Amino acid sequence: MIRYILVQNRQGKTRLSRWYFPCSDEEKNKLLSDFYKLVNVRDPKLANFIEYRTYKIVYRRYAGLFFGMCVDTTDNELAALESIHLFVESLDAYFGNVCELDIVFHFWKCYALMDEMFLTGEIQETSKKIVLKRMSDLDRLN
Amino acid sequence: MTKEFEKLIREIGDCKSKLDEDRLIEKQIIILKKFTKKKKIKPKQQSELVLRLLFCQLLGHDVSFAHILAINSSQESNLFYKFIGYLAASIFISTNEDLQLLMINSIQKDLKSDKTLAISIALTTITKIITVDMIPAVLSNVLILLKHQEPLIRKKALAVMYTFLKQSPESILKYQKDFELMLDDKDISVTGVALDLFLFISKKKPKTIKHLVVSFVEILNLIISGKLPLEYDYREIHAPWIQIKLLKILSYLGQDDPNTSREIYQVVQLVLKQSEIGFINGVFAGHAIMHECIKTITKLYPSTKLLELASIAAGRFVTSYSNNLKYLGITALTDLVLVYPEATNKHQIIIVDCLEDSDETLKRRTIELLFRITNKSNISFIVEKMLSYLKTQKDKKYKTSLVSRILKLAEEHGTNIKWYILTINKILQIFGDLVTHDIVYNIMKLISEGSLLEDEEDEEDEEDEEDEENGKKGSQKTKYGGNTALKIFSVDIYSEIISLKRPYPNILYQISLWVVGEYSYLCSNFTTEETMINIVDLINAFYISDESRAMAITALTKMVSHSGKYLEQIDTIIQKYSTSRNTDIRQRCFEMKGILKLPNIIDKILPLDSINADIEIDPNLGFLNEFVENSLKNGCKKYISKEERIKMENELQLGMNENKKKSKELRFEAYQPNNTQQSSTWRIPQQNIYEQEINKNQITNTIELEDSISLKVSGISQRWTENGYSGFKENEPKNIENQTEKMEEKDTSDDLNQYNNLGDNNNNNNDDDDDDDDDNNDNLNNNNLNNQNFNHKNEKILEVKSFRFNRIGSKGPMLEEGQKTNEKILNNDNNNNTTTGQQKPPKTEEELKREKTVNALFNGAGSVRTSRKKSKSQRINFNSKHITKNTIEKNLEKTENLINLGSEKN
Repeated sequence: MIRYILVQNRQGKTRLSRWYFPCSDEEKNKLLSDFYKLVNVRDPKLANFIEYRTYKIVYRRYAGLFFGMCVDTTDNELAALESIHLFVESLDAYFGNVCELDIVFHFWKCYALMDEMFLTGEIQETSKKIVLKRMSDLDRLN
Repeated sequence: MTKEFEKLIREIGDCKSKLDEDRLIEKQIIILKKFTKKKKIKPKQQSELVLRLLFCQLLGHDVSFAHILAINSSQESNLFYKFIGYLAASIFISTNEDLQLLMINSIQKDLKSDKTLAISIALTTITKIITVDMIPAVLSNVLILLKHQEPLIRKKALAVMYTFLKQSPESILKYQKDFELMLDDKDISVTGVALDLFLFISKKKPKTIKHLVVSFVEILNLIISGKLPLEYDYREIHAPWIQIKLLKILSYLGQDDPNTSREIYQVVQLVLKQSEIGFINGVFAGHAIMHECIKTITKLYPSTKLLELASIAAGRFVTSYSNNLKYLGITALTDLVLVYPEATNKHQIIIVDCLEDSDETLKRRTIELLFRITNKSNISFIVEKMLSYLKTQKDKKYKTSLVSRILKLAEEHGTNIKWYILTINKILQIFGDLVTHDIVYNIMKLISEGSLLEDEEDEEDEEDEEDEENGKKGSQKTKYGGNTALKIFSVDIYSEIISLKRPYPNILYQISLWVVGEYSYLCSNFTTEETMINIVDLINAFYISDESRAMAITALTKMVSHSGKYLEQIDTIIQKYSTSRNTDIRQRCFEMKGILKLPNIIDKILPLDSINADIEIDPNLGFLNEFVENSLKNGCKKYISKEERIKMENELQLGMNENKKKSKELRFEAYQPNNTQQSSTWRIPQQNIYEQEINKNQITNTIELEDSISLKVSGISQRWTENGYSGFKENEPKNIENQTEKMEEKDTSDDLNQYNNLGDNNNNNNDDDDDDDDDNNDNLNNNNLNNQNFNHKNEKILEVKSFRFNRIGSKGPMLEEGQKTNEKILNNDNNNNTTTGQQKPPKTEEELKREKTVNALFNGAGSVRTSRKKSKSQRINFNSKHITKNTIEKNLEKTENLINLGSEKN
């Protein structure tokens, strides 16, 4: 099960964060800063997995952004890594060559997209086509 | 989104410091607060505000004042505003529990809506804000939605059920039949969500869904045969995430179940085969499935064929270029070796190489794997690698656990006892401070008994040769077991270590000293004298701790007693460390000194190679009976147990208390001037508390005391009359008494008590006299050690008295007389340390009685105090200037030799 999904830039500013378990604000801040400390220093050649507390952090860097996911130890790390990639691909397809600013200005759309793909801490929709259709439905409302 | 908001986001983006950012947001929050106070806000404006709130919240600011806006927005009829409202609520809600209840109404309404989007948004929100209490409110609605015509709604409704299931499994499991229907849904993404539920159930209650194995296998077959819509393909792999979910479920169902496992074997093999096809550079979906297959095979009831395939697959991971895959390969092998030990045979070198990778995550996994694949043939290689890895580690906690695990590993798989000892020495040299004392004990036991790995003796041909070289000794088992060759081997190593004189960890020196002390006579590369000199040097070295130093002294003692050789340096050592600040060292020095004085029985005290000998212990100390009887015959006092002494103390305190009342009158004399030059700065407040306690106990104790106490108090009461103190007889040194201000008003017992508590009285007068008190207590402690030596108590009293005279410094003739008496008794004390009565000048009956009371008092008071000031007593023991040196040494020798020699052997 996914515990949380984070998107941080290289300066440690959190762009998106979704929590799939109850967690206080202090705890969240701790987890955010730990994520930054762990991920930012790692060489790109190293594995994309970090053992953290009793979980695993799976992360991937896209340009100046770190996309990270904290999963249970029994979960499949590669599947998590690929789901991060799927998420980024979907963002890319939705915004058209996505960049950090897109995420900053349309943070609520990103959350909506995230909700389409991941719900209850599991990956629920793996079809990019369906996700994009849903997003365009939402856009049409406005 | 308005331009204003966009501007804000832009400005925030341009901020160079957190401070600027905070300032902007605070400004924004003030604006937002103004808006929230307005009664009517247009829906559009409201949703705009909600977005701004969300933005502020995401930047870490508290916007709870306006959460209500989000809820209002969610109740709008416009779907977009509703969407914004729900989205914001789902993010705010974790910080504000009250909002949940407010949300329920609008959610219930929206679930019944005819608009797909509205339902979908409401369902999404439920998954985020649900608590157990809320389930009944929406459950019925959600159950209906499971059969909704839109796959999107079915999927989300199922996801909501999954959330319910996690929160309250018992109440939701009864709908399992409904979920089973969803497995056959036309839409694969709905099936995918249904699998989440079954994965949860398969972990908790696998038995309830065994009948579904066929369905799961069927779905998996369907996927790998490529019959799904193309949109679910990810990089040419069919629905990898769903495949993984299915494999996970199957692994839980097949665990420890041969029949179910057999149903699964075939499909897993197929999936594994297919996953290989999907290997594309940089895309890990195929690997992810393969990795999951290995995990599944490991969990299923073992099938040799599949395990073989799995180990080949794991090999592909381990030998991969990518660290991700290496990591997974190592993880997979870690599980696989438990069921299929052959799995790692081909890859050992690669695995060990992973330890030299720069990736910490990978290295830690590798270490775990190495712990599992270690066996008798590779132990020495692996331990060596592990140690070099350990040197690179910084985390002390991790290091400590690793060291203990490596030691355990060496113990389990070590084939050669010599290798074991050498390895442990190596570990101790580098990580000595991380090793617990058990390991030290183990190795000592091993050397002395040689039992741990003795079954391997056949392999140790070399050892046998050595044995022959060493004559008959080698092949013999010594009296108490153990392998002499091993002892020679270890004593050689350890004397070498001592001779190196490097600042190794103390723990290594402690083992070395013990082994050398025990078996120095077997040493082949150093003579006993050489080793002794080395130890002497070691004792003087700055880098060893007091504990090791003490052990070194004992080792020397043993060596001297075993070999009969003696070095002049030892004298120096004894002299130097007899005055050490460390009591243990001091004690061992005295022991050594004492033992060396007894050449006749020295080999009985420290017999050769006796570590495993059973030592009989006589708990009643029967061997002392004769001594006690003789002492009693010679007029010594009988031993009084602690309880009795406490009772006595109580009684005497009672008497003292009465006197106290009278002493509360005003005093007209000046306080004593503070002449003492004590350096002590700390004082003990316990005394007052202690007295209070005694006072409390008095009333209850008095009655029983009268019956039980054998102390002769008759003398005291006779002397004390209603008119006050009846005075001393002429022969007594009563002028001494008269000199001290307080004494005049008190009876003898109190008088003596006051000496006893001299420090306390002085405390009342001046603060610097604490050390006086210490010394006094110290005396008491020592007296308790030996009932015979009451002399220095008197000596002490008199000294104290003369001390007072000095301070008061008046009434010359009386002072002189007091001093004379004092000197007389002091001389007597120095000459003889036996009972009081004989040596002293003839005393009156009164005086003798008083003395007895003093003794009793000292006994009682001393014992109670000792218990209260245990820590202090150690310090005091040797600081007292008033006790003659003879007394200390006699005390020490008698008591410590008797008590500690036994414990040394143990």
